[in-house]
Amino acid sequence: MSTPGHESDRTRRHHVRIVEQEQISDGVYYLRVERPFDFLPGQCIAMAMSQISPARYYSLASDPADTEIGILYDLVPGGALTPHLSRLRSGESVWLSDPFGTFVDDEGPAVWIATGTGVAPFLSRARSLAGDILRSRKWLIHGGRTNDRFYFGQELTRRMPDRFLRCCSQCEPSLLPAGSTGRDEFDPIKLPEAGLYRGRLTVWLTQALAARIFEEGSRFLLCGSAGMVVNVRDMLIAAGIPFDRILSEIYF
Amino acid sequence: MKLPLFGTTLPQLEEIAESMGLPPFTARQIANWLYRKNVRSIDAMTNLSLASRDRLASDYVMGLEDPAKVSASTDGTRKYLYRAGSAGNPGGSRFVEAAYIPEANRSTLCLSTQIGCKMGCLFCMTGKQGFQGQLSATEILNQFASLPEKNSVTNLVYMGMGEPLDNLDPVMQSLEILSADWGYGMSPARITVSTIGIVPGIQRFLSESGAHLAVSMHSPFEEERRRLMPVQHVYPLREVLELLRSSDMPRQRRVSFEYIVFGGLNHSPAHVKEIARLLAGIRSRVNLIRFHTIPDTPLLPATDEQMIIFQNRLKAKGILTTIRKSRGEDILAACGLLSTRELTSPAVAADY
Repeated sequence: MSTPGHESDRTRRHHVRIVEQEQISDGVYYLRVERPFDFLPGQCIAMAMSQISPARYYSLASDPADTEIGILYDLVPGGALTPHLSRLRSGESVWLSDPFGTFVDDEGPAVWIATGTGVAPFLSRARSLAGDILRSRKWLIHGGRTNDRFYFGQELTRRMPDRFLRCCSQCEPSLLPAGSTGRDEFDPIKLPEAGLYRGRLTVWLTQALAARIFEEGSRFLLCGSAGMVVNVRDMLIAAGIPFDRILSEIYF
Repeated sequence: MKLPLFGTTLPQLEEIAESMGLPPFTARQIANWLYRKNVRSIDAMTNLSLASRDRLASDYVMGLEDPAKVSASTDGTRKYLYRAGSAGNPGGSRFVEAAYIPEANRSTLCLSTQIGCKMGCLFCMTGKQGFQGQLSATEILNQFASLPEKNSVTNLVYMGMGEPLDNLDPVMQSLEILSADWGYGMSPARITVSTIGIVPGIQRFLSESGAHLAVSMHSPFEEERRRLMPVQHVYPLREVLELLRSSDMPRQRRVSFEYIVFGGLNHSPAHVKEIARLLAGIRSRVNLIRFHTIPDTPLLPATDEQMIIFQNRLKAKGILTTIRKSRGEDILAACGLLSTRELTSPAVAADY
């Protein structure tokens, strides 16, 4: 078993067996494979169908202590990998590189901000912290267009009560309470009911920063679409957060 | 939908000719019209029979598009706006920019390769618009082919909007067309591809193209570079340097490191020392670039004096170092300022 960190060789490929694959939302899959290496939450792997086919990068979503590795991914129609990958079943196999990357949280207070499958590194970190997460001073703010875009939302709600917020920019009208405008007011004292804010992540975050609800000295870790990362990073800088406390991960 | 002929390679044209029942030599004739005679319609390919032209026109269009707008700088730089990405975005409007930079003894065209950019560099205006799509080889080359000053262009640099090596196939295809004898027949020494350091892309680029390579460094220190350029998480600079050090590099290929100098941040003696250590054994040069400030940035431009001191210190370490002249800043055409954010209608609503 290889180890995380600088010994990593991303050109090495491990042939791993699929334990299970599940479609967890429209166009979104969670793949579980045997774990051939150790890794740190926040690290990613290159995944391919064979030793020579094109690889794509994914953050690992599982607890590093698990015997399996979890990979959360979007199906990209016409893509080189995911249309094939999404058809694989238990017992079939894929190829993974060694883990690599330095998008790694530390022990201090942190605000994790994600959109879509960008929640994966934070899911891994939350799982690795297990019961310690309640005193670890971490927040997770997850943005999505609709209610079905908050992957592992129930698990995260259970793991991070009062510290996990889903910001739904276009909640389906049928899911809104009677008389609701579809937009929640910001409350600096408590999170909205069920940790669901009906409005844009950036709107909630702007008010949360103004109300100074995050611990002093928190690091901000951003993972998701390029648009979200640059937009939120600008907001944080405008709010006076030093840029050396902002860590951004990009998808490509 | 009809496909574009412009931007296709000779082997692709041969497949097209075969599939349409045209004589095999037609492919080379079409390439000649596209890339040497610079015609802008299939009808103008007059050494093809009328029947052949009709057959081609039934399935293909030229794919060339004139610039939608031009902005002229007081220093002579011109910024052209091109419509792009319409294939995957029906009803939406998307644009890219190209900058034409005339100088006394050369004229450079700076090409875009993506609509927006995914890389999220802290200092770049293109990054602030997010990513809206890849350009095809047709759209990359159209910025050159439809440029009013095309005939005076001496150098091409892939340094406009987007990360070229994140759009590898179309970029490599465009390089092939530029340098092939059946294409534009340009010397690769007149072309530079810039990257923030995508290692697999550099590997393929080095093996398939003879063009010059420019790598964005901006800091020799891992932690500092990570804050400026998120790509450092995935492709640390040391891996880029290891690759360059271990690659066979012909003497005519130039490797340069682009370095934006931020006031008070990345021009200390410690930076000089570390750059010299990292670049030992790599035949290269360092281009210092003035930071063109953008909204909401925590970064500052360096003063002229800071730039010169930094340059002299690097030179004293034996590193060939130049300060790149800023061009087109008044029309937002200078390095790091290209953006079509205001003109780009989103394909889908934002999820944040």
